[in-house]
Amino acid sequence: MLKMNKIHTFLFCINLFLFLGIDNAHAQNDSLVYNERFGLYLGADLFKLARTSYDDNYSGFEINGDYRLNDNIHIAAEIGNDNYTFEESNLLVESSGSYIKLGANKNFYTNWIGMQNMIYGGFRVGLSSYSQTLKQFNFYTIDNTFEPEIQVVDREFNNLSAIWTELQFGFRVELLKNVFAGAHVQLKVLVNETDLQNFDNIYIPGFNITNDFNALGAGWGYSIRYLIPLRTKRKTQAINPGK
Amino acid sequence: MNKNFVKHSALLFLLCLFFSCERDDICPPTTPTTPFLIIEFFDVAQSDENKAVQGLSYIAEGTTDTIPLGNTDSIAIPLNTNLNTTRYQLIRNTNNPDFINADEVEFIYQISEVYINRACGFKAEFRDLSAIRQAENPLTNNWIRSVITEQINVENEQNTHVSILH
Repeated sequence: MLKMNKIHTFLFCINLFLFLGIDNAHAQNDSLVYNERFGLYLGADLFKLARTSYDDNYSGFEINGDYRLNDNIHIAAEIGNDNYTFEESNLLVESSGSYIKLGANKNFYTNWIGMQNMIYGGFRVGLSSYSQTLKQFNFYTIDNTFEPEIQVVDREFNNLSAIWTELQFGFRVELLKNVFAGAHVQLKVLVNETDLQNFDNIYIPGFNITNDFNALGAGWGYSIRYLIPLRTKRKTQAINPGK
Repeated sequence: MNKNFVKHSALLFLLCLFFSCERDDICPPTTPTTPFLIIEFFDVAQSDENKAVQGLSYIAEGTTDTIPLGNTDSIAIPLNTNLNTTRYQLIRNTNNPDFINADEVEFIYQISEVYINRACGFKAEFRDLSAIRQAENPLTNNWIRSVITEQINVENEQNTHVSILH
């Protein structure tokens, strides 16, 4: 599974580089003129869809959108649903629920005229509403005189919620007109979660897996987006032969 | 193609790879998990004096292995988390065929589940502990004179849970 992730990542990044050369600016007299498109980007996360098909312990999706406010700032949101089964030798836990993330991205990349690619950083606040079921466990013991039997409990923890903050770093490339592919990583800090009686939040939809040591989490995504242009802004750039 | 874009993308690509590697959690050996039962042996004539058992060994119920412990006045043995009772044969003078003597002790308890963390999962703690020596006929055949439950709950291995007088 890990290997497949890496191969997918690799192929995806290779594809992106192949398409980087697209340039649809055109020359007019002695300067370049281009109508830069502003509007709503709508898309879906490809990683979650892919994982749904190859990982028996996961199903889910994410729809994302962002609106370009000005040259560099996009307000952004994601909504999604995650169902994940945590399966380790001592624990079998099912988590499922929905989440929403709200925030903004800032583009740090200066495009050549005619291109609307992005390298961006972003900030989100995430909210998740979910439930968790402890299906079964084994008592942990360092002695094997009495091999612990599997305890099947089917214990439900409902109406759980969590809030976290998230930093995103990613890039986005226009593959075809108005069609953008992107990849990003997520670094998160859990701010609040429902405390459980004699148990823990193992997986929080949207936040991803938690850990025993701190409130940090991580994730990543590959997205495909369609730009619905709502307005354009005329950009010109002088042709400078000396450059 | 813009060099800067390639450089940044490559960096991000490396980050993607980094996050692909999920570490499996491993329960550290220093984490207290399901506790052992701590038994201390005392002199029946002077019950505040520890008294070592010569050639002590045990056989756990349902197993055939004799586990040798040597000459000792304190042992730690596991309790069965699948049942509410565990029986042990405690054997004195294991290596001396003339004086070998096996007594059976039964431990009865309730099990409670205590969550530790993701890596270790749950541990068992034992409540309402009682310990019974199986009486033999005649009673003088028992090398164990008396069994005393010192701690009714077995939650850790810091204290002696059961005292045995012999």
